[in-house]
Amino acid sequence: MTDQDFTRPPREAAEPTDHTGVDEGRLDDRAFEALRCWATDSSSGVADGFAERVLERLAAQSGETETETETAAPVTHLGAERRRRWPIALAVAAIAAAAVLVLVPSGSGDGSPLTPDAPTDAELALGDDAAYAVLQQDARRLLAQRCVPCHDASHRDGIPAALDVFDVSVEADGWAPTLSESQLRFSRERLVDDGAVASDELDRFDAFVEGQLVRR
Amino acid sequence: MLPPRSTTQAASPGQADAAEALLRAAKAGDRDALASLVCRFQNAVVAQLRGILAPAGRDAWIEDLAQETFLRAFGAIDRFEGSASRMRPWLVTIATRLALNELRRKRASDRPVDTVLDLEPARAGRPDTDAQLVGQGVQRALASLPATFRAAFLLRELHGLDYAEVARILEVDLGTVKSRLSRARARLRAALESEGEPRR
Repeated sequence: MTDQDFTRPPREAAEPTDHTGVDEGRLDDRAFEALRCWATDSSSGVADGFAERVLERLAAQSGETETETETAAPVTHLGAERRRRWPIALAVAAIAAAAVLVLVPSGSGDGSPLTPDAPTDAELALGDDAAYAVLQQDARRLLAQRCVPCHDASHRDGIPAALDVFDVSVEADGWAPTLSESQLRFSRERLVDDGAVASDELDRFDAFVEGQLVRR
Repeated sequence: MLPPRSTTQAASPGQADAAEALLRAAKAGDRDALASLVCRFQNAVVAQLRGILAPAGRDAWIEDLAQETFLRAFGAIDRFEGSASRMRPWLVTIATRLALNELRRKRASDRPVDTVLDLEPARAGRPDTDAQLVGQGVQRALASLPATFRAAFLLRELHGLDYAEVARILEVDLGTVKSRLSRARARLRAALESEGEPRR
């Protein structure tokens, strides 16, 4: 038997005389043969060079991981266009941050913010897509630390009902819109309950939530 | 003629050792080993995705989600603690979840499930061979089922996962899995009967 074979599964003790009476037993030979033929035919539908394309994407991901910061967005499926925008967004965010540091007078040295006029994370998240993107990536990281494996489709113990709410394995900006407003706020409560999240991280999470809501 | 029935047999010790060595090499990041894993399992992954997605008119997603399945698996392969024989169930599990998640997200724009043959004119044409005829029967049966039923049916009948595994993956109880399988089998039998006598 090779891994490419479609072979008939062994009979289970539960079939076909299950007490519920709903399991009618195995496929007969003819039906199984039809299914196997369909599967063999169907699986040939992918164009040649599939393995090469997978490895190219894998290499691209690895390259991005090596060159980008921790907050950069890795590859996402159905999202090549979004992926291409990430470097631009990060560059804009970096320039904006540098401009704030250069143009705004330094703080008073008493621990107060640099300036009363410096935009907060929440303000940045509301109007600045690049700033919001960074906050969203941080929020994803926080949730990934605390919500795997249930909310991770790539994990064998991911739970479908949990994945319906959000899936941290969906990267870039695809994971957040599936959360309702109440779920977003509840997820924040979970982070608080966890007790391991610093207050500034919670502030940034709050900013992400507001930024996500205004984009709906 | 239908292809000859393959026999179910366990991998020989040599094959099992080779598979374990391949898995170890893949975990170490060996590119050739990763490519070999793709080649070994791509048919299983693609068949699972096609069975779930094609009846919803989402053929265009198949290659992309098949790639994504392997990328996610390789991204987590250092956490994979099973033996090489568990690779296929693991991969079809990832593929199933990706496919069902995509269908949930795009549910509002899904086409009716019974239009699969309309969406695939090349396949819907007059069948030239017995295999095509049988394939249409299988597709018709799959198209008459909800996506979660298709997923359960394929996980069990095509990939050999046991009932408990299917229940865990789809987060339903064992009785639900059995009822879904029962309905799917009945649909397949009916579809094949409508195609006439089997060709052997």
